[in-house]
Amino acid sequence: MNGKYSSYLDNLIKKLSSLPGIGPKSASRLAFHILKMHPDEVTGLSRAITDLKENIRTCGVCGGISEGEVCGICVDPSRDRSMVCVVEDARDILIIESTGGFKGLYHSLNGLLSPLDGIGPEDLSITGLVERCRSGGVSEIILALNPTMEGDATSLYLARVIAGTGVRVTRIAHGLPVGADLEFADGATIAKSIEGRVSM
Amino acid sequence: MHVKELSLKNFRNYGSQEIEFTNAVNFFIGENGTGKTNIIEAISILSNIRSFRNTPDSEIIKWGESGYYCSLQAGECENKKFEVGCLYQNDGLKKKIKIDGREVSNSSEYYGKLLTVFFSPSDISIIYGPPEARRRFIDSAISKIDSGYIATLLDFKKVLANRNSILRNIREKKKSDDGQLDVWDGLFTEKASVIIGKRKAFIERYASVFTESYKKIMTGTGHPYIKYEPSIESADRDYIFNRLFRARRSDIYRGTTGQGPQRDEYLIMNENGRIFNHFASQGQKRIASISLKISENEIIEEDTGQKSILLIDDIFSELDEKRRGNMIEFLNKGNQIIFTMVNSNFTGLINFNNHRNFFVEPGGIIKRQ
Repeated sequence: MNGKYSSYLDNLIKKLSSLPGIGPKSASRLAFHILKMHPDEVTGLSRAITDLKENIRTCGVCGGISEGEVCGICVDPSRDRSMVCVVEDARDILIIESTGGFKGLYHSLNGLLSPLDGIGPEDLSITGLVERCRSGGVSEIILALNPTMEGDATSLYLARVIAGTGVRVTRIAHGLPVGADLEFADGATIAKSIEGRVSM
Repeated sequence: MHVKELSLKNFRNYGSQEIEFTNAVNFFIGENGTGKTNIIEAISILSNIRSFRNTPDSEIIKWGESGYYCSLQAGECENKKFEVGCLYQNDGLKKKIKIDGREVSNSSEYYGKLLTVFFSPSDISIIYGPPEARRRFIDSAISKIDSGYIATLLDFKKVLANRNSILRNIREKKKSDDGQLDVWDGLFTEKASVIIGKRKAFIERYASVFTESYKKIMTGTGHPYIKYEPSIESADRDYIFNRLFRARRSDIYRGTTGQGPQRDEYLIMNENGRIFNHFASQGQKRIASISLKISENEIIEEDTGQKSILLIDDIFSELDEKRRGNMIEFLNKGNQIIFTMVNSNFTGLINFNNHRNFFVEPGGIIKRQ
């Protein structure tokens, strides 16, 4: 006890609020909720967390998450091995996979170029990507990075590096979201949409 | 457009204050330090999100309170209600901006929605201050008529900071990194080209309006003009990229980018082609600074077809009666005007119909008369 209810509670609140998106208030709400949960549920939750950490590692090929040496997507024979979609991190793979709209392979960079934060090309998984391009079988690299300054810089950098391998480099479209109204879009988005127009 | 009603909570010296304006001329009269300027500061924050005083939000909050809130009801404006709130929360000061009840976060969503032009005694520093003061002024004027400009400018600043960081890195490690520089130079070129092009186009229109405004207030002969002197003369992308490329070695040596929009200058010259500031009197500088603002307003009104709200903070003291009269005549074109002044004698000098006087007393008490 350090002047509060309980050191156990304080400890959990502190641990929970170290997670992204969770402040001290949400952390205390979660902690009190856990306190009310059935002991089996609590054990299940804590086991799920340790299981995740113990059993998941980085895929040796794409850098995504994997239960073995190589992830399920990379070994799946039904995937189109000629297309590789490049993403910022493994979480983006999950997002694109959930759409079911892409049947190729992935490559996670584990970050974006950001000289201000001291992140240069050597800190990203770029060598691995170039090797995959050189090893043959890949005919197109799709850059699916966020349209931020760092994302744009990384895309330009990759395009230059991959150009040497002869593999085609494309990037995902930028502009109006599907179902959005022109009236509510901001100027920069509309300008990008016009720049990236397609013929019909 | 005009302000119908302003509401302040824990803003500077005001605990809770509501003010109803007339859509013509409003005078706030009071002694020094009573909080007259705070009223127009609030309106300018609602219009530009940032204080013209360049003070952090933490200093705007009334002493001993945990946040401030201000809102205004607008008339003859596409949007009806503007709100800005700032509150200390667990992890620092949080600012919220709402237009018609909808929260906005993107600068291009609020810039130019509530049009205000602010005249302040410190405007004179645009005339004699460093080039940065003129760049900031012109950039803000362009942003009010071109919502995409501010976004490009912010992107450019980011690119510049990253490029400088690479330059310093190369200098320290003594290892070249052309691969990365090429990429950031490409982005620099793209943004700089847009900025230079827009600055050029703006000054082309603005320069003649500025000289005309000065003439009307000052009368007589000898009128200044404003000239854009870009650090890279052309907005052509290949040209910009080559200039950067050629300067790479010296940029690495200095650890900073020596050319580009961040080094642009706007020169204010007198009729003999010499720097205006070096030869002008204090009164002439004052009139030039007022003319800069009046011209900004003319261009905004021309482009948007809307009348902006003029916020005028005690700028009469340096003008003689004739110039004061010229200026008032020039401003009296149906805009809502909000004046602050120490001396109520001035209100009598000014021939406005439908004006409202507010007397501001120590402790932030406003009495309407």
